[in-house]
Amino acid sequence: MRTRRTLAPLAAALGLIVAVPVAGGALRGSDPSAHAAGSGAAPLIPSIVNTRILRTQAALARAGRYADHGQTAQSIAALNAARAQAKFAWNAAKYVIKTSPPSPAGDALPDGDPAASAYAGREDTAFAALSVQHDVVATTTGLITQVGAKNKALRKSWINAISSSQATRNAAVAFIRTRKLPGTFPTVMPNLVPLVNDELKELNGRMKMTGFNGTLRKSLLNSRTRALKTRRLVNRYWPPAPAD
Amino acid sequence: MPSFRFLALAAVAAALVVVAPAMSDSGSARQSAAPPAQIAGGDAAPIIPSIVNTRLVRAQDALGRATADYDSNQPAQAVNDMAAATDNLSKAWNAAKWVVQTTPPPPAEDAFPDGDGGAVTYADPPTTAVAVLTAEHDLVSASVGMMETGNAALLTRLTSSINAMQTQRLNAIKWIHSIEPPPTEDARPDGTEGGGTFAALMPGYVAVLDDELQQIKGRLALYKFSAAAKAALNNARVKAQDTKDLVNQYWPPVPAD
Repeated sequence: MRTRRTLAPLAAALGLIVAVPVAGGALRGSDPSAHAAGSGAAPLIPSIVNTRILRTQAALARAGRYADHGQTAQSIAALNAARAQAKFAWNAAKYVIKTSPPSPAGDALPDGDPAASAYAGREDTAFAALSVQHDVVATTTGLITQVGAKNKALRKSWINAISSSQATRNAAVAFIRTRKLPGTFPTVMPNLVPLVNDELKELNGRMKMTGFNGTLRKSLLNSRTRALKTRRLVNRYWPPAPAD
Repeated sequence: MPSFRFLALAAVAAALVVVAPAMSDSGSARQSAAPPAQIAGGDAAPIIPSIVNTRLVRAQDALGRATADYDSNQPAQAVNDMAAATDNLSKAWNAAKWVVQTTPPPPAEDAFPDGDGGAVTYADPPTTAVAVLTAEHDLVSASVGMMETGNAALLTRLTSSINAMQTQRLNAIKWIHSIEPPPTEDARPDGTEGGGTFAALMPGYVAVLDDELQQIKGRLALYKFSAAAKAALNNARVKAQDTKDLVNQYWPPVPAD
């Protein structure tokens, strides 16, 4: 699970909507509602991105439910919706990146500073949009079955969901890097590595345990290659801080 | 039943209302078998009074259904759900007004020491009212996220819902200001005093309105909407700006030290 830096609580107490944890919490049956936004809690993701993230997660949940009930056509539609919403989330995050000022670094805005916003800065917002791409990949990978792969439409929906989300994420990493954006991206972006590692573990584990073959195996190997590329890019662009 | 709870801020006497995300969706909401039950007492977060909370939860659920229908290419089905969400939020505000008008002031400090069974466990009236205002923002956000629909009935419904919620919110803010007692020294959001009063809570609502404005402007910039949708969004933007101006007028931001 990724961590989101708390910018600061509102100076005035305020009722706010908090983003569902981006790293798939809702999909794992946890309480989908209500996450603290108080001191030490996650900031709120701006609505322009948050609505897309929530719709992605909702669609992923539907895809899983339909898959569990053997409703293939509906599962495909839900997966396609999730893929589209995740892409829209990143498009919206790009807008936020382009139109918002960089977040102050470090403790420039200590907790309790009234100037701090309850909403996440552009860096955390971008990361939320990247995290939801991981959600799509992870959930879709979990939906894959060897039997289901015989259905070409279903197989294509899985592969498209995974490859599209990974491609969006890689493009996003490149976008953030090439713009040389000021702000806290160097602090936030390394948090992508654990997510990618988790993704790699899932891909490796599923291939090992289920023994997919044919086109499906090839596609999963491609997914693994793309995940490795993401990790390589992140580590190269925002290298981890050396241990003391 | 899911609860809309608030969490106390460490240094602020008031609290953050945590409203479940509007579209935290039918899917995930229904999958979660166990509702987030609240336990009163100690440092547990007080909950929104049921007379309001039931409406908020129903509105949230209806919004979840609407977005799920919309994302499942069934926009026609989303129309009724949007209407239900709007209706429930209207009733939530009526209920919140009733709570504000009828709830007696809280007992004096330390009247209920820790562990006393009489400790207040429900949110105070201002917090309850702000929870409704926040849910209204939630509905507007969810609606703006679906404005690209090609379904005329849904577009009409979304436009109507946005307009209704923003108008209701504007009226609510005027009403709150009209019934608010004169500010005292401790009523300002200085981070230490005055929590749980409208004077302490309302300035923070500007951040919500800024978020709404950003979403509307962003969507207008990112998507080529139909003329009708574009006009509706522009109206919504103007209304959100008016609301923000009004909040700033009634509860001016505290100047930085």
